[in-house]
Amino acid sequence: MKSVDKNELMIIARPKKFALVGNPNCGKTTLFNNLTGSTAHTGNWPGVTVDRREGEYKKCPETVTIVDLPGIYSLSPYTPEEVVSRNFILDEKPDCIINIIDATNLERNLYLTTQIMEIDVPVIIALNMIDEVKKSGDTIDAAVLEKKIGVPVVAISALKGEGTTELMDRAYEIAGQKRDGFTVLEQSKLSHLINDVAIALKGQDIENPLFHAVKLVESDELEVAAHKPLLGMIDNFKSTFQDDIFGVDFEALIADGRYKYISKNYSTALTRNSKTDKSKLTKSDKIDRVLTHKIWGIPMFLLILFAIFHLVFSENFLFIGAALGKDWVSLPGTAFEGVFGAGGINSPGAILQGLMEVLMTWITDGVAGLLVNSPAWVTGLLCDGILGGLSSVLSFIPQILLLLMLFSILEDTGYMARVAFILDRILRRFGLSGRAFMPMIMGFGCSVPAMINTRTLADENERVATVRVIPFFSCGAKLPILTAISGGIVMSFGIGNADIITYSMYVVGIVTAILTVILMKTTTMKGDAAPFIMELPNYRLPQFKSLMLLMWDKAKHFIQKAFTIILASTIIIWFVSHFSFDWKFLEDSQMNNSILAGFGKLIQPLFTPLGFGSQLNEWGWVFIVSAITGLIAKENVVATFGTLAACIGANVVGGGVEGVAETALMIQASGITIPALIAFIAFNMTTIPCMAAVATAKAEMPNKKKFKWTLVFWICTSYIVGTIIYLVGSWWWTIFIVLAVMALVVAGIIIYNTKAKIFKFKNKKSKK
Amino acid sequence: MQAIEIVVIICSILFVIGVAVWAFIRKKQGKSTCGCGECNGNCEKCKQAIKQAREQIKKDNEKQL
Repeated sequence: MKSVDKNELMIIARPKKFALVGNPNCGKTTLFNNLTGSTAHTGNWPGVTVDRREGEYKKCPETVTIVDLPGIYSLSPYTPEEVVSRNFILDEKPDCIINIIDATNLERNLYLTTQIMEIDVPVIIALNMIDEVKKSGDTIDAAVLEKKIGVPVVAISALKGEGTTELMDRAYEIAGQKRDGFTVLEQSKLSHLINDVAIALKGQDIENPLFHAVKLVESDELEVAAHKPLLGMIDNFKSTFQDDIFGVDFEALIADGRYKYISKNYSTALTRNSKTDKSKLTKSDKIDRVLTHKIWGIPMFLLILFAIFHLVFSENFLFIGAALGKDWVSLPGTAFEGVFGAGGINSPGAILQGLMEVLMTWITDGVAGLLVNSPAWVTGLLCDGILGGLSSVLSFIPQILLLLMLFSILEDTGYMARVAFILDRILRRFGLSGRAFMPMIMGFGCSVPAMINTRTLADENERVATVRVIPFFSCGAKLPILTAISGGIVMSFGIGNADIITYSMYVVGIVTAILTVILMKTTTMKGDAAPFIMELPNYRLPQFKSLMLLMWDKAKHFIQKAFTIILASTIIIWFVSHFSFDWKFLEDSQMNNSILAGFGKLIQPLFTPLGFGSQLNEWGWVFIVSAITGLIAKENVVATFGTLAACIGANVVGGGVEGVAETALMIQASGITIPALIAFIAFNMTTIPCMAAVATAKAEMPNKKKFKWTLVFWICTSYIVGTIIYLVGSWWWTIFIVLAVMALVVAGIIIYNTKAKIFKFKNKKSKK
Repeated sequence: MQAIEIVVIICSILFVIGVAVWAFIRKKQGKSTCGCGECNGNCEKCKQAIKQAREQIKKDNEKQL
């Protein structure tokens, strides 16, 4: 019997691996989600995916692993995430490459195809967005294209799931079959040169000789570094070649050769609609005329942003409160009192949040009823500690999901890519490009993927500056802090609208980000912004299914976090707030002598300039410990309020409360002022983010030193922003002191920069 | 001490330890506890590739300057 080699067994056992490769924003992740049932983040802008992602497709005779890769325009990478794609294709040897092509942009997408075909691996082309091509009246003959290219071509619509089964069946058929690379440059002047190099590489047993030969002729830096011993020989070959137009610019020669071949051969499969008037503006162009207007573009963005916040947070929806009687919607005396409005109609987000609060109150009351004969501390831990903390976080789920859904709609339609374009003009003045805005916008959802997305930025200084300011774009986890405190302000002081406070705090975050970027770019990170070239995608209607999947995914992860990290934190907080340093159990009324209170009181004076330090009364330490627990996960800030307010409630108003009311109770118990509360929000928004974001920032920073400075930057920024807000909010005239200090700092920077320039100039002169 | 008190104490301690171990394992796996659902971590190979690419980009920039 033939013995089976161990390596052979491993090859037999390994599932087939198909790689999804294509230009940015051609629909790779949408196809990936469709094939694997995943809910990976998609967006209508180039550069959403920056890391490889794996999933399983189970409809083939055997399970196939699908690998989603970051988008690339060419196999000569320029940004870090493009390197991920190239390395996977060349080193991990997928059984089949599914090359996804945006059918609405055939010629440009085929440029990458001509490079992929040079690799010795089975290739299949997925002609995506074919529905959009049909809609425009154009036609692409997949059969003609297949004949011309020499690899299978299947027309699909990844969004609608059309043609995907045929694509996978045909991919499975060719997977694992031997295919020799082919280059379209065979018919160019370079064919002899490339063939000579390829033969030399083949003689040295180098895999994919044709691909490497073309890249070596092109002088691709990665190839040159990898094949140093062969360079002498290749230079010999190249020295015999001279082109009349391009001279010895081989990179340009090869690109020219590829495009000539594409337009001569492949483009014949495309038939344009003869009735289309090319001079007429498309629908996308018409919308762009309004939304990307030179003057109105930015105010329109701010208005859209405000409309979103109004829809999610307002307690005076459409500002029609004054036109209605007070009790019209408040339903006094019922379980739903205030849920639909009190004085004004609540927005859909506020109504959902109110309903969630009612549900959480019912659950807490029900559990308290069951534990009526249990010891007091057990009831306290389960109802006040665990349920109090959890309910304060969970009650904000509807608003978080609604806000993320609305942001996702803006992203899916293609509007966010336009915002990056209109903001480029402003950001460029401060040394950032509009591309940096995309990860910042992602920061509204979660700082972690946003920081990872900064890999698309080529300039190191720009990347570091963007990672540092991403936490200032309030993420979903910080939303409960904003909503709870702004709601608490409205409830306790009877002023303002929660949506305006929340919106203003988002603007404070954005302004802080801009100001700190200016500071960094004029001091430690000088340099011009990298050029910003971004393909503006066509406007598309968001898909209901993908929006629902996104909401489900976010809800799932939020609940998972609530019942793990946050639940564990609430248990610890309850214990340390009910035990003294000599391990004696304390009643709710004695919490001021607890370990937690002792720790909070110890560092409380540090926060006096921010308004929530020593000036507060005996319960002031709660704000300090909340901010500290927020370093684990930002939801913990409100969860800590929830846990402690449920206990303090018994002392202050004779009973526990839920949701926003918990914060109102903390405000009442501590005697904190409005400016101090706003400073508290600003501090939490701009200080060190959660542990996960800190770990990501560490991974994305070029070195440890920059990471350490990033931590210092977050601490200093939050302290300064909080102090300014508290001072100016409490004593308006301090604005003059703040402005004077700012003017001094600006003057100092200008003097320093001028001196540095003069010094540099003198140095150069003396060297000469 | 009543039975319910012992059960609550043991369950609380076990839960907190369990969550800490779970978070530690996820961190080791390269996954995160941030809840965004997108942090599949980065393998060593990708990290290395990114590091190399950054150096190359830096070199390119210097060359251009």
